[in-house]
Amino acid sequence: MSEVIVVTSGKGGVGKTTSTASIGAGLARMNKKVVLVDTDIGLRNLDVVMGLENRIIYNLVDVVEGNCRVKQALIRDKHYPGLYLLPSAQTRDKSAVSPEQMIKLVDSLTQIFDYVLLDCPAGIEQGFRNATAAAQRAVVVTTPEVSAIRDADRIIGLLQAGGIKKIDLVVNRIRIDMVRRGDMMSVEDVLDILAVNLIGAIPDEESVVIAANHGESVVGSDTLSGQAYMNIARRIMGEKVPLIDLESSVTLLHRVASLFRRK
Amino acid sequence: MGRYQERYTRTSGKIAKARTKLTIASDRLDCNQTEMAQLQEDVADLLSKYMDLDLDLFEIRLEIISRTKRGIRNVKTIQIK
Repeated sequence: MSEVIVVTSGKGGVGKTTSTASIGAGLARMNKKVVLVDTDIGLRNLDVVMGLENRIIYNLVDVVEGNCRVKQALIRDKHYPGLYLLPSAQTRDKSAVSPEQMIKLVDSLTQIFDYVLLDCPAGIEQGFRNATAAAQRAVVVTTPEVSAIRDADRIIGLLQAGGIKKIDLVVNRIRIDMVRRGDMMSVEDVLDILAVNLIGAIPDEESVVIAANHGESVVGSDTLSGQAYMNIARRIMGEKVPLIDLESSVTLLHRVASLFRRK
Repeated sequence: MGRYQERYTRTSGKIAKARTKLTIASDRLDCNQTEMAQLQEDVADLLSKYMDLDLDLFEIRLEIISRTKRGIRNVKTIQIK
């Protein structure tokens, strides 16, 4: 029984593509067959985030237009044998694919894979409608900022109106030091406003940027963000994993500071 | 003194949260922010008609309770604190 999940956010630049790649890698580590579909036609990114940009021969539009078979367009990941990418077209625009064609494409992918993850473009136009038309479930990515939360609220409303019943939230780029100072909204604050199920909270770490520079995912590395993404993958599979207490993951400086405070 | 206290109680995170709530409320109600502010003022005026309110001490917050049940999705409830 395969599951089709759309990763969306409304606002751009909050970490949809990075989250899609990382959650996909997490599921593949759990020995699942996973395909990541880049639905952002005209602005493809998922291939570079995964480090597969020079292996593309065919893309999503080629499959939809019948220029090749689905299996010819799929690219296998360098690290995980069960993880595949279906890249988007760079030289076409959003109108190249219709929601009906997307549903047909995703249907053929569910025959092969356990999980189909759709990386949604920013915005609420046709790209968003294409990506959500085929999904049964959604992961909404947001950051603790006014603009990102506002867009996430709008997206959640649109997903609910579109009949997607299972909607989970990822709060990305949390800076614990700033939350502690009161200069950033906490995960609880965000949940208080959005009132949807939290599936994971990702700390803002340099390792995420460094991994992306290499075209790799943080999943599997010994970092908090890597662990957090791995836990999201487990929760998607239905496991009950407690949230990582980001507060307790203090730096050495904080530990020294708290030593003094105790006295 | 007042300013000193305010610095410590109203952190930028709290300001962000309040702004997000107000923005989302006005988005959902399809009512712009100036109208929202006007609504807050009107509520304050109305209340002060019936009770002795010191508006410097009281704050009126409008929040949308979004616990909507299936079938009555368009019901919007405003809670006034």
